Amino acid sequence: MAFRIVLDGIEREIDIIRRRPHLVLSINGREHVVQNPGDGKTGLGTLTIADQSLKFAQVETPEGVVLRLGGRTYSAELLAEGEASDNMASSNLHAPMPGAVVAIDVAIGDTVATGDAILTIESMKLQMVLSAPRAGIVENILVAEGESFGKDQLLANLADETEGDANA
Amino acid sequence: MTTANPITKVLVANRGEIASRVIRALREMGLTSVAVHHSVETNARHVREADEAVELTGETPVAAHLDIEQIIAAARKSGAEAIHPGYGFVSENADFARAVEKAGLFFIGPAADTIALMGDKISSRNFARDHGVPVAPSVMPTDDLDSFAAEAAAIGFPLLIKASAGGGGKGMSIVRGPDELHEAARRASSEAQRYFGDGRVYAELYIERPRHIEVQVLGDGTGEVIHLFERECSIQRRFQKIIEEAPSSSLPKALAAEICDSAVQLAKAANYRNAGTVEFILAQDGRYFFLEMNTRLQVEHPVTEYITGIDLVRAQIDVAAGRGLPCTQDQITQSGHSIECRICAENADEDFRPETGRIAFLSVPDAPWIRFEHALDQGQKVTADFDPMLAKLVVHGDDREQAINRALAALSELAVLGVTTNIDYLSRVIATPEFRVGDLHTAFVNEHAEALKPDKLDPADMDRVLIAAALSFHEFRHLIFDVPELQATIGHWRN
Repeated sequence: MAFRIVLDGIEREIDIIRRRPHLVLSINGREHVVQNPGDGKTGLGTLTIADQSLKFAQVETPEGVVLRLGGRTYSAELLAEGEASDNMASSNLHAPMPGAVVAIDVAIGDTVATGDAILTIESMKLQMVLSAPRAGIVENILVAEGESFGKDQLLANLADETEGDANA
Repeated sequence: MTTANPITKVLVANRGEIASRVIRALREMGLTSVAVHHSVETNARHVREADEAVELTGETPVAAHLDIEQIIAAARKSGAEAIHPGYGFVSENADFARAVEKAGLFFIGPAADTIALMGDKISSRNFARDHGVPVAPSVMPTDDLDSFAAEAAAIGFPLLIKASAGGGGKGMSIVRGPDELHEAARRASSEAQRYFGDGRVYAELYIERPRHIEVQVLGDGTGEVIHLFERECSIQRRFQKIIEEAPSSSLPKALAAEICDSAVQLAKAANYRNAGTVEFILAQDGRYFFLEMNTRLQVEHPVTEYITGIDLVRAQIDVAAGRGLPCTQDQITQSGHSIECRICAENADEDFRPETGRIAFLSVPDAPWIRFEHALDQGQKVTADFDPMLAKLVVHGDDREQAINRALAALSELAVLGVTTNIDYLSRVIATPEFRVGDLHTAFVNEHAEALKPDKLDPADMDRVLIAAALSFHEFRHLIFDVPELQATIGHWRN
């Protein structure tokens, strides 16, 4: 089984070929010998790949790994088995940017259709409407009118209209 | 006061890197510092670095830092004799300066009337013109289109015609020759009438590919003014500077001297006290025009400090305490070249949208030619409460080329992980051939937008990055290293 990692928006497969005597990884069929796999700790680290030393800085956050290498910053996400790389109709309404809630356009328990307004927010002096990513029932509203929020903060979430094992 | 030093304790009415910068200067001068903060920043670096701290209350953190009465009460309560306002917040608020003086405290800035004079676009422009400083030629608003056209043609071309009540580009056009003038004026006026109910139009000289040149001045308030040479701040996004340098990259010596003299002339006319900056727009043909005067310490002051060796914050305090200017004009020399990069929490690839997050890892390059001005802590949250500027990376080199190479090396080493920053973008700007040769103007980042996008990596580099990323995931490492010996020996993990 190969792992799928989304690096700067592009999904790639990485597979563990061997562990001994050296780690060998395969990326889309290309094999790489990793003589020194580093310590995996937050901060500055060193790897040796194909006898070449590689210095970098990294941190793992709940959203994934952020890596700084060769003067560039990369973000990577490890996909779980079966997980789609593009966020398909999610049940969660996350903040696209930091801002404040201007109005709450629904109540908990309301049935909404895809595209219905959930929240009106203001960010950088612009008002915008956050709408339902899919049809469902408003399960939670986690912010109050006037409250400010950060980027990616969960603002509200939807439950399925009918009970059962629906696949969101 | 009978003591030699009327200022022994200073309240710093600011936060972030500039508060840290001022507190450092105070410590070096043997003076006591008092920080102010909102409750959300109780553990902030500037609070820890100061000798004392006073909490300000406010509906928002920014409101607290703008609260004149509370700031003055904090100064009194702490026994500070003076207030340093930094930049932003209350630094250019004439009412604040007045209130500070009324409270019997020293304001480390200019007289309140000077702030008021320079803070108004029209009054400062008229003041500059009346004292022989060039202002961009313009025609005053009128709805008499015949006299307008005659006056406008006398300015020369190209001209920018605008609705005087205008905004949003309505009724605005660039006129490149006399043939187009009448028609453009008529159209602008009728559009202005339609959109704003006011048909008056005005015109000013349109400057193509202008450069932003500014002059650092220092005045003692009795008419003594010196300049500390010019800075070039043409690299801007959203009308805000992101890269500044000193001296300017390609200003002929004679022209640089002329611009610096104009700035001194203006500051002298105003009996200017404090560090200040006179900003100019420079046309490609060498004409320059007064833009505005900033009556405070500037964000980019370190590039001037690097090339002149003069500590501007110390100079501000000395002037406020009545000790006069640090030196005469003849004693100031410039040496080498300095570049400042503003490190901002923003996504440069998405229209410079501000970003928030938590600084999970911070690694700062260290060399004698690097100044990293900041008040950051690992683990600190970056919120939307304040300006997105996190820090300033300032370098010095023997010449511009060395400064550029040192800036690129320092940016490459700098790591601020956990919040998206413009560090990579700044590197890309500085690495462009146009920046290297100094072909700068204020629309540089728009003109080169395509070239400033990140390069595609070649597959070999991409594989190395991917391996480093994969080996940074705990989950991935777990599957490599935490397997039974037998399975590890057999290899090829299957589930």
